[in-house]
Amino acid sequence: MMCGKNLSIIYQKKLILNRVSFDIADNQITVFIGKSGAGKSTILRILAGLEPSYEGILFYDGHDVKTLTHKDRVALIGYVTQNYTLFAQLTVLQNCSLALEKVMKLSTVQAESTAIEMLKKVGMDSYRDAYPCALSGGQKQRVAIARALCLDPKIIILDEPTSALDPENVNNIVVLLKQLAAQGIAVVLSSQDMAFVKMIFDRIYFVDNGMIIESVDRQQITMIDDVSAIKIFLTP
Amino acid sequence: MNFNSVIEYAPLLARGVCMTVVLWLGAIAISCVVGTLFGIIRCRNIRTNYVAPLLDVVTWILRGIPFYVQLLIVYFVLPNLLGINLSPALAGIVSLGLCSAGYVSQMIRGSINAIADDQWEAAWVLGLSRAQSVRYVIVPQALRTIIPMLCGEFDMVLKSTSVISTLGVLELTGAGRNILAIDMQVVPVYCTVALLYLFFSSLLNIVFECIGRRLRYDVR
Repeated sequence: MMCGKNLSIIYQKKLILNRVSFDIADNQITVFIGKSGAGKSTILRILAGLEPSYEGILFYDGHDVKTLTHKDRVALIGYVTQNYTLFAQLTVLQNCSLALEKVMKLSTVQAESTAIEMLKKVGMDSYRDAYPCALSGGQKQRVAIARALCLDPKIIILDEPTSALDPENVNNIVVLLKQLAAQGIAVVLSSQDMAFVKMIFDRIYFVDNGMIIESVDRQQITMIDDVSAIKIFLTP
Repeated sequence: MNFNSVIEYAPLLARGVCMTVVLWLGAIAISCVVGTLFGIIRCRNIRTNYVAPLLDVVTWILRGIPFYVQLLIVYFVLPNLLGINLSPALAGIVSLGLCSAGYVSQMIRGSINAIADDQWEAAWVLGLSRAQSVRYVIVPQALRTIIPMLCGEFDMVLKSTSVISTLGVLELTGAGRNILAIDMQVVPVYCTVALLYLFFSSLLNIVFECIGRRLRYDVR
């Protein structure tokens, strides 16, 4: 279980996140929704360790995440950016095996075998020798997820995972993320694609103007009243 | 036009060619090592508060002073100031290498800065250290833009070796002038010298074209 307590961050004298608190449960898909610029991606970046200058505390199983080493942190949290950021000069397989070899110090054979296993998991093992430029958006997305999964993280974070995907690929991602959650991985994502969010969420946090103003579990969604910000946002 | 004098003094020209190649390769080696180091340390995502600004100033000096003046400083001023006496050829290699390093540093810094920040972030979230990110992610991508620029720079270094003949180094241009002093056949001697420079320049361009093609992962 990961939880953030009173997380705040200031960029260029502007308060971007204001005392945000949330819980991220294992086996669950946690979604941050809200308008553009609300602070969703900033929350994910803090979780991924890309914004070290935040105030507040981020706990994982009772330990402050700031005390973890870089290696321990990447083994705990995998992060997939909005535009996937695959390394263009490396093949799909090399993209996935790079960190295993250079960070986890596995042999090339072991690293490639783990990478192929993860690529199989996302249905991309037949593209192992392709370069990212030869892949579609959905394929890049799956490779990026496989790359993050190679380090065997307990939490996987995805920033706007469906922003460049067609409906078929969105369905594939839904299936994949539900499988990951069922395997015990905590999935955290931000999205503005409400149809996708409705299909996938276990818990939603509504972010507005740097604050979490509402949260709800799937079991509670039918019980919340019609003036709820989440309900209004989810309604097409 | 009579090329007899060129044929007669071919061994002298060959010595000149050899010296030009030595000056060229020596200067390129210094330029690559110093320029790469300066370029990486000065790039946006690695800069430190003290070293990078110092290297900015050094680069500014190396780029701001003409190569010929730098050559004269290394050969005539360093012995007076620091007691370092270099042979004319070594002074030529050092000054040309350092002068070129200023430009190479800018090329490398610019190419690395052009790599999107999210590539650094992607490397970081995978656990790569700064040095590993540079080695395995950033520099291989930056090479695509650096290679054509380096080709142009090394071409300039080749041609600039001719300036070192002013210190009495018998490189290609100096050898041509010596032949001319013996046998006043201006046209064949200078045409031969020019063609030899053109040959090495073309060779360099072909080599870099091949390297550039190997780095084009978008068409593999």
